[in-house]
Order: sequence, then structure tokens, then C-alpha cells
Amino acid sequence: MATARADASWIAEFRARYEAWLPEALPLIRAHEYAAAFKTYPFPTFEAAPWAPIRTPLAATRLGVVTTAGVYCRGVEAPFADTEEGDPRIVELPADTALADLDVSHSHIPQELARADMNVVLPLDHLRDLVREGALGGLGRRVFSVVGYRTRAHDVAAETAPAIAAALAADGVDFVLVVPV
Amino acid sequence: MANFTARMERIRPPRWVHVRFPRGAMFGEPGNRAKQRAVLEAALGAGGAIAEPGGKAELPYRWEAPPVAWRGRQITEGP
Repeated sequence: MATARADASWIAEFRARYEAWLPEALPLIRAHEYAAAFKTYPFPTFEAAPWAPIRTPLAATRLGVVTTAGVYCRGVEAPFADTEEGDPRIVELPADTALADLDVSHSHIPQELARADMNVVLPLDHLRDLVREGALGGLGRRVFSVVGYRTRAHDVAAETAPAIAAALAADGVDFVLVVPV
Repeated sequence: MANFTARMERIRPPRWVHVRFPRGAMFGEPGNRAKQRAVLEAALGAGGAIAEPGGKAELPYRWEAPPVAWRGRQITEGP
């Protein structure tokens, strides 16, 4: 499988700009004035896209799935915490998890949509149908859930994403559907 | 996949699919199984069809339920 290397050269500069931004942003975030808080957020911007060609037909592909809806399994994991900088946890869900056992805890989305039908943020019913029909080769044994509200982009790049990527590779996936919510 | 073009242009993912749904429902309306399935199949198909780094596919689907109330606004798609 071809691999693409992550570019970490931006992280040091971002960290410095983030630490300058945070003290003024925190009171706004605590007051739920997100538009004002993020008006000056030092969004990382990239010139080039990492790239690895997809050569495996879908019918032979083992697909990985990541959702950022803060999905968790009731009674098994705790909901993602609603914190100023975002909860850094990664929740692993078995790919055969029943959607009825799941809930969402991303506090920056209208949660009622996913609570009415979890497929709108994690389409496991449809993915499993595609596998049964032979249109998709298979799913990784785990799907991954994080919360999309994470201000510490340097931590996402240096810790969260590599951990998920390593787990996906260990599960033998060919490519990954990322659902940012 | 994403519903926020300006943000994806900053992030530059390897490949992506633009969906015009509100945040919180990236595959369409709750209960609309046919649309969810169609969006998913189109997204997976586009993954293999996009041939250049950062390439984007536009999906034709639109929100067909009442607007979603979110922080004082009524939304039917991303920013």
C-alpha cells in the first residue's frame, strides 16, 4: 500500500501562535461567543495535499471509517467532555456495533439529527449493506470516533491523527472515509 | 467529505467530496435511507475517481427537510 507522509514542519510555529491566541480567546469561549473567539484563531493553512493513489477496486477494499461527531457507546464509554479546548479522546467502536447503542456528544453540532438517525454521521447500516452485497470488500474491525471541536490543532496532528492512522494500518484498511461533522 | 469549502481549501486533504447539508448530518436527512446510501456510494466512488492531490467532487444532493435551528440561525447547508 502506498503511504503519504505527514508534514509536521508547521507545528512549532502554530503552537507559538496558539499560545498567544488562547488567553484572549478563553473568556470568549467560556461565554459561548465562538465567532468572536475564533475570528483570530491561527488556522493552519497548507499549500500541498498529501497523496497516495487508490488502486484497489471498491469491491476488494477494506474501508476504515472515522467520524468527528463525538460518537460513543452508551454504558461502555463516557461521553466526550465539553471543554474549552476540546476532548482529545479517541473512541474505538467495533464495526459491528448496533447504531441503537450509540449516542453523540459533540456539543458544537445540532445533536438531534444524529440522535434521530446515527447514519447521518456514521453510516454503518449502509456500509454493512455494501459489504453484504459485495460492493465493498469489508470494513476495518474498528471504526474511530473523535470530537470535531479541537482547538489544539498541533496535538491533533502530532498525537490524535498518528494514533488513528497506526490503528487503521494495523487493521489492514486500504483507505479511510473521514466524516467531519 | 465536508460541507465547508473554505476550511477544506486551508486543510488540503488528499481528496474530498463536497456535500451541501447542515452540520450534524453529513449524509442527508435522518430517516432518508435512499439518500444516505446514494451520498455514501457517491463519496466512495469519488474517492477512487479523483486523480489529483487535493481533488474535489461536488455531489448534487440538497437538504430536503425544514432548516435546522442552530445558534440563532436556520441552516440547510454548511458555510
